[in-house]
Amino acid sequence: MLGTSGTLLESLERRSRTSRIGSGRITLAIGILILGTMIVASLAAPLITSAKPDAIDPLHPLLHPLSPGHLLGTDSFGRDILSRILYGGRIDLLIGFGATSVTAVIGTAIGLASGYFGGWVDSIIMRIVDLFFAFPFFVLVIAIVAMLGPSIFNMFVAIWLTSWISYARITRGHTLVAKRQEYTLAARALGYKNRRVMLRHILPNVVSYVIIFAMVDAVGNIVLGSSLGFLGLGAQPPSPEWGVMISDGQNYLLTAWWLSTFPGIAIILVGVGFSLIGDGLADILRPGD
Amino acid sequence: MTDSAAPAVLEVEDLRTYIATDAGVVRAVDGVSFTVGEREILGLVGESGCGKSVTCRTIAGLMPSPPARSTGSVRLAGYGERNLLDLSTSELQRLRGEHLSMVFQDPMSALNPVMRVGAQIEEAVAAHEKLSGRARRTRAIELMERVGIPVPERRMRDYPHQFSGGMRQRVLIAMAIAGRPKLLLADEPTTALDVLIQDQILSLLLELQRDFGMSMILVSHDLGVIGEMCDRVAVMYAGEIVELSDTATLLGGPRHPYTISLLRSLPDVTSQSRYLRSIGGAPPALVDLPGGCRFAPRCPLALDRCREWDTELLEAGAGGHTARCWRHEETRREDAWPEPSYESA
Amino acid sequence: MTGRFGFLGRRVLQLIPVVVGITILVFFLLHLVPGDPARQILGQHYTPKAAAEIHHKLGLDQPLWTQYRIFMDRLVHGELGDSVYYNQSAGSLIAERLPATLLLIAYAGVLAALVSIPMGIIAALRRGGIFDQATRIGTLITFAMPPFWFGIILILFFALKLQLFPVSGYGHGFSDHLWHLFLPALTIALAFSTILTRTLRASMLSTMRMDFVDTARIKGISRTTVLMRHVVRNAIVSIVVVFGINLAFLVGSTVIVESVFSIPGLGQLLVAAVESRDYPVVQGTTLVLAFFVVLVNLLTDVVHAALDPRVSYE
Repeated sequence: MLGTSGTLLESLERRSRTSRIGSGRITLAIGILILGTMIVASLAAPLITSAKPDAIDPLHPLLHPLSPGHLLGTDSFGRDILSRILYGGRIDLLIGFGATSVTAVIGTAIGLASGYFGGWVDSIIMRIVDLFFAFPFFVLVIAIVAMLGPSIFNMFVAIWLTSWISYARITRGHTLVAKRQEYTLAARALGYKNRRVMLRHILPNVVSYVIIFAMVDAVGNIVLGSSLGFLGLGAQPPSPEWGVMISDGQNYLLTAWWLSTFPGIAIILVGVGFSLIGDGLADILRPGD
Repeated sequence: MTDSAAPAVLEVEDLRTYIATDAGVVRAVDGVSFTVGEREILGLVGESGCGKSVTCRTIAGLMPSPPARSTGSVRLAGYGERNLLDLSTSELQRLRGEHLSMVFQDPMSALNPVMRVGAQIEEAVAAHEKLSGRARRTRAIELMERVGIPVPERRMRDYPHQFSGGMRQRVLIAMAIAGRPKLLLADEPTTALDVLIQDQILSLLLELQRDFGMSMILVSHDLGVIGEMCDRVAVMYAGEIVELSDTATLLGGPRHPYTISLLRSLPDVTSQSRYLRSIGGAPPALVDLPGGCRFAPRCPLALDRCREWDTELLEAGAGGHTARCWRHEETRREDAWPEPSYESA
Repeated sequence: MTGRFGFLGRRVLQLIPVVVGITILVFFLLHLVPGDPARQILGQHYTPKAAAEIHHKLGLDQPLWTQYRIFMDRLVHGELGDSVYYNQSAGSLIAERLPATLLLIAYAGVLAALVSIPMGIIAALRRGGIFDQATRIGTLITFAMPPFWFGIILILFFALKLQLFPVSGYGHGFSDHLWHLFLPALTIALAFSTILTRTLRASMLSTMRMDFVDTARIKGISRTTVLMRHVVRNAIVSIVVVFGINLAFLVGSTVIVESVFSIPGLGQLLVAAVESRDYPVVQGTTLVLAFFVVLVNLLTDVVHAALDPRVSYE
């Protein structure tokens, strides 16, 4: 009797040990490692390579990767690709963090207020949210950039204007749930001020959803930022922004594949880093979902 | 109706089903043995989470593996000497519907929401018989009539959400009896229903069981339902059977302290009000089971040795009455029970 | 049956404020232009006379409310204003470019479904297996992959190196179109199938845990029947919903992919109009693409209602 239950236990315990929270921690660690490496490498670019990202060398254009002094080769102007990718990372990572953090804060505040106070404020905000959701987001961003004029700052403005919507919708939904929970009702019954109830009692229950979505959103924003750079509507040449670099390389596809390939891989690495952090956090913060 | 009187349709021996979860290995069913005789209704009773449903699902081969794994043996008369736990998928498919079937607790979630009710019944009809579309339809209508669904020709075309809870449960029963199974597993078939509807469904099940000569396992947490329906009862606690007997004996002369407490928690047993009305505490987590008797932490009669060693099911009376308790002979003496204490909740 | 018509009617009514909102939003786009749009358009050729002409053409010399009324009045008559750059109305420019974009979107949608439906199903069935892990890593990478970059890589391999497909363009005649649009459609489909595969996998897993699947299994029908008729049939409903939600994303990707592959569609028109500061064309294209999304969303709602009988009774 003991024998059968013993082996049954043993065979299952191994499976049990690799729990969701445990695998979430591993996912998170890998994500932080990838993203952290990219951030540190961009910030410490001058320490890693002595080549300047915009130093033109007419004598050494289109050098192959692994050429002496140019690990990832050079572009048509003889500029070092590695150096451009490292310095360009500062721009793309800034897009990822700058665009995402601002919209996350604004959107969460709007969604919190909308869900908490309800009434006509909520109706109006939700109508606006519905409207923006009907729009092809990328088209709207392009249209706004078109009107403001192509530049990296205007690209930020366009993203700020449009992508708070998702955060507002997520926050509002979870605020409505949290509002009906007993701890919130108790806090309100005790006569706490609205601001205190919102910040102390509702926000902590909502914030994990916001953070997890922000990681996904950051990937989207980096892809969006590089897309606009590629189209000539975001960062402008000779900026080493990764989208701009891919666009530069497009004319040399057959002769110099590395011009477009490496910046693309850089975008993917950063995106995968953010995604893994998001997945890991989701497993850790919301294991029940 | 004791073991020796009727030939067994189902024999379950030392059945264990363990489930791997994030919190650890849950020992949902832990060494359960019982038999179900021909035309017999066996009740499985206990608090939620005691392993009654998992027992049924394991017998039907419905436990997902992984994360669940089972050992022991489950044998069904008319299905050779095969252990049902060892059957392949295609063998299970032949077994189901024809030899055994099951009715689930929540009739709303147990019906496919995007499929017409008629089609769902026809599917059960056609599972083991090659029939023309017309014959299938006729059989489905007959079945719907048999379980008391009015205007079946019209209702066939409706979707589950257009049915009431009671009618949905009748649909589920119609599908379960479509292949005339020898054994019907009814997993809390009335728990999700209104009290008035509950009685109708129970009488329907009883009627079908008699007419078809089926054996049945009825899972319930409601001793009242068990008393009305069952020939024999197995009381489950923390994955184990703690008492097994014919219904009259069990309700009239229970021996295990858990069964006694359960009976006393029934609202209509008012004569013995000097005892605790509810059982204090909660069942142990099946991940981290206490050593010794699993009921000991909640048992008013527990001695030191109860906490150290567990026992097997011990002979407690005539006709196969067994109880898993060292002190089963003392439990009926009033003075063995301590004075009631006034616990909150 | 009346329930379903009622549902459709309600959905159409709900669209009215969204459609009006879209027109207001697109109308105000022009007023985002810092300073004087005429100065932006004319650049070095700026003269007060030319500026006045442009003001008149764009209606900027009218009060705001009148401008919107004129805008709406034109819109109802199918006029989207005149292109500043081309000697053509924005409407006719858009009409010329629309078919290529529609074909590309449909093509990409079909390819995405062909890729993600089997992948999502297999990944869910063999949960935790090699295929599931590979799918997870694959979707992780494709999610972070900029579509324009993937398009370029496809051009590099399949058009330049292997010379299986054309590098760019749209071709002539339907089958030629399909040939030309294969790589662009694949580019978009890959990005889109990330979302579809993940959703279908999750939806399959949650459906497999439903009681009705056990009911189906206990009937004694074959595993394949349980899977197709009960699990997949229910899980596919979520795919339709997700398709609707992410349609805007699909349309957005076409804009950039058209630019990569030089396809004469709305996306390319939009980007070109942005570069030449052709404001009426930007407005018109944005409007048409937004209306398209609204319309297809309505369509997915109808399909959703057809697939899930509970919807019409909510």
